[in-house]
Amino acid sequence: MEHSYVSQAVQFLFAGLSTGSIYALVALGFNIIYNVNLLVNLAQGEFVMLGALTMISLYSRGLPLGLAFGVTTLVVGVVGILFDRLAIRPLKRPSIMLMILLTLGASTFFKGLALVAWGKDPYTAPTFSKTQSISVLNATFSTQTLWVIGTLIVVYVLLQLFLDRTIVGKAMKACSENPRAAGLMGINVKRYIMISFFLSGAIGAVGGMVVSPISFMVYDEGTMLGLKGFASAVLGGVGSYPGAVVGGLVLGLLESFSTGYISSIFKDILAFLALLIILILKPSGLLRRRED
Amino acid sequence: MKRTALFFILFAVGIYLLPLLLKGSYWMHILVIIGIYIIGAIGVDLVVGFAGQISLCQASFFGIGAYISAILSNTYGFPPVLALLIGVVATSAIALGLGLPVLRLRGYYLAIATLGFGLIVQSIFVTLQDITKGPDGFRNVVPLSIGGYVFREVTEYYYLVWTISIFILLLTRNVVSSRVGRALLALRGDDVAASSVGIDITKYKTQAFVLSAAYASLAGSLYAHYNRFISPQVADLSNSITMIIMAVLGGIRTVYGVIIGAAIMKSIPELLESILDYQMIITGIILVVLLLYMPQGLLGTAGSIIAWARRRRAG
Amino acid sequence: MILTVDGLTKTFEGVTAATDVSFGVAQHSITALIGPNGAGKTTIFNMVSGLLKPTAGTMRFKGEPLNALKPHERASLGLARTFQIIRPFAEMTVLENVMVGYHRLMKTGLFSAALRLSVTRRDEANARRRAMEELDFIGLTRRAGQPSGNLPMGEQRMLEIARALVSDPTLVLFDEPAAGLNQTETNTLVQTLFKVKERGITILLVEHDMSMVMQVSDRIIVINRGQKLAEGTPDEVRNNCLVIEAYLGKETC
Repeated sequence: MEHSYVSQAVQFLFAGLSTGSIYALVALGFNIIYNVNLLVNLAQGEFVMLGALTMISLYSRGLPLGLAFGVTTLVVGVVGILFDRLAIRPLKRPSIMLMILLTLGASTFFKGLALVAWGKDPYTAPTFSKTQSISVLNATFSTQTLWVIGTLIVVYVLLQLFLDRTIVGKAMKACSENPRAAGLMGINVKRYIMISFFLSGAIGAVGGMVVSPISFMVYDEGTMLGLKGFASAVLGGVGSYPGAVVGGLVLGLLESFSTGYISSIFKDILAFLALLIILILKPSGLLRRRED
Repeated sequence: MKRTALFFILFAVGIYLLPLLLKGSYWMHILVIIGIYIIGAIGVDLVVGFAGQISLCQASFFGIGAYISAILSNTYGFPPVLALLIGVVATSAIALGLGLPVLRLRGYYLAIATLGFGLIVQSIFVTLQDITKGPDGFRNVVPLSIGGYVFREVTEYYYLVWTISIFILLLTRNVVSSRVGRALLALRGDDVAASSVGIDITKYKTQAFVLSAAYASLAGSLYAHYNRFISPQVADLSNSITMIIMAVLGGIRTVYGVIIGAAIMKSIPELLESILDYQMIITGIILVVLLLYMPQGLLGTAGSIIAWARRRRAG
Repeated sequence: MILTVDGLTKTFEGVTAATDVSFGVAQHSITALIGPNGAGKTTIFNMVSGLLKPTAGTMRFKGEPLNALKPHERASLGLARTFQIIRPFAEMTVLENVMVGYHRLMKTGLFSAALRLSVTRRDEANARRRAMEELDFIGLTRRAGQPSGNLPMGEQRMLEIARALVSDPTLVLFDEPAAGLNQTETNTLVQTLFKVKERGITILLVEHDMSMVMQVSDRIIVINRGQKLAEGTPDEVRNNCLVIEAYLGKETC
């Protein structure tokens, strides 16, 4: 079948937006924890992986997809809370090196859990809508792509509403802007750190679940996703939510178009290179505040 | 510290005498692996412990050394020792090329950059199937030979590997107790103050990084020739993390601590054979628990306790 | 003039921290940079030691232009400094901290260190000897083997000074050495500064403690709002109406 240039481009566009949305969701998760706790959670990608695999398991045990989705979101959110309680909070003298190694240890632990629970096999889920694929301008792609992009929009909007309009959200924002002042005003910073981990876990899981029908999830997929999510966050400016979305989508589109028009070798290298270039041009990083 | 020197001499003597006791049992094989990983782990201690740079790609350099050795000796018929040396030089060059841009980064950025490098290297090993034999691994790597002498028995590798290992440990101990070691500790502690006393931060960070990569390459090459089989798995992030754990578990900046760390980390899979699948879970838990409750590691904590007891006695 | 500074200017994102500052520091003297809070003294200091890049202006040390040199290169020329917020190297003992200061005079590199060649052994012996001499000079000999993190503030200050002196510098920049010290400690500091001057080392210090500055300095340079306001001996400066105005805010001239 002949593919016109337009239909090819549309194909790549939607593929890019779709992968980009996942990166954006991971980046949002990074930023939530970073904003409240000045911590970069290297286990963020594992939340995505756990989300996808848990939902798939629940669904295969007979749970309707929607329920599986909801339950998994809660479960992974709770995993995030446990992670904070058991691995992060007990740290008496936090330093960047310790945080990195700790979250790395946690990431290894989660991968190990997944390995035992699900083995090395790749898993996939059914598409959320009954219609499997749609055609735009002679380009065919899965309806799930629309679900993915839509989910990003919904999550982003909900997140902003949460932070701007709810009391809990505003308190979280206060914590991120000035933890000491927030503490003095009676805000229980530790509780908001916990909430940030819950949200991060939940959002990560949502990303994993919504992309699982159009890709394969394996126990160790989280590392690469985490890396690219972090690259997206850096691209858009660490800590910035709109930046996370922009960064993620840009990275996804870059990957998609370079894979389509040049070669797939570039796919993984691209994130790394983009990250390196930005960081070299601005070696102090785009971090807003102190790095002790 | 004279006492540490004494212990180390006793240890070295013990190592040389041990084969008489073990007489080719399976533990000899484990000990060879431990010896190999000591070389990789002390490199991690240099970069992460002394220079304070968070590098997560030690296994990549290990893998590069391993594959260069395997490819040059099998496919191109190079003498293994030459392949090993070329591997060390090539890996050092790669580390230098990577280090120059990347070591300027701090904290998370450095960690992620090295992590990204690691993922790319591993994926190169998987993708360039024609040269590296792909994900199924490189079989029947030529055994090590020096001159005409071919190393075939476990015992032969044991003596070779441990001699090299002990030598590397001594070299490293010399480096860290010298001007270079102090420069690394200074730049780790406070790089502004360090540069104010004349320490060229970039130079020392890079030296530590490249030396560490050279160690990893050496270890990887030894592994390739000893194990006769390598796969892209050797360059996996989990291998880098294991080497970090070895350094932390044994005692960061104690130099000799890596012996204990490597011994424990490589014995666990053997002692707990039935739960091999759970290795990753255990690895993750060990790292988290160590960092939270015993960040100085075994030797480090022991050292602190001894120092504290001494101070109490002195009143 | 061992150090000359000419037209030094620094602007950050629209804020001018220093404008066209020029002065010279005579060898073997103690010169002080004073001025109200936020006047720009530390900015000037940081430009001289290389931590900040000037927007405009030049600096010369021993006749050598400094602008292109990185901080460690300036230190290698014999320009040492201490910091206002004390920065000991926590992982090392007091003695090792001071030995680090000897870095520029040592020749040991990676290779010679690894093989413990004779140059390394000589270096270590020299470093140790000089470090003990400096610890003796500031009176911290008994602390030599102790971890440096636990020292009281006054002693940490002294440790910084020892670390700066051990490499036989030509000029030492002291960044608010009296900050946080009590009267006794400040007196000890004054005596130490005189002893350092006796050794032939030139001192440039930034300080807020006026009485200490008046006691110790041969020459004082007053900075206000990023500009040089006045310069002279302690007596001249004390009676300079512009200086009085700047500090008291009253119209005097």
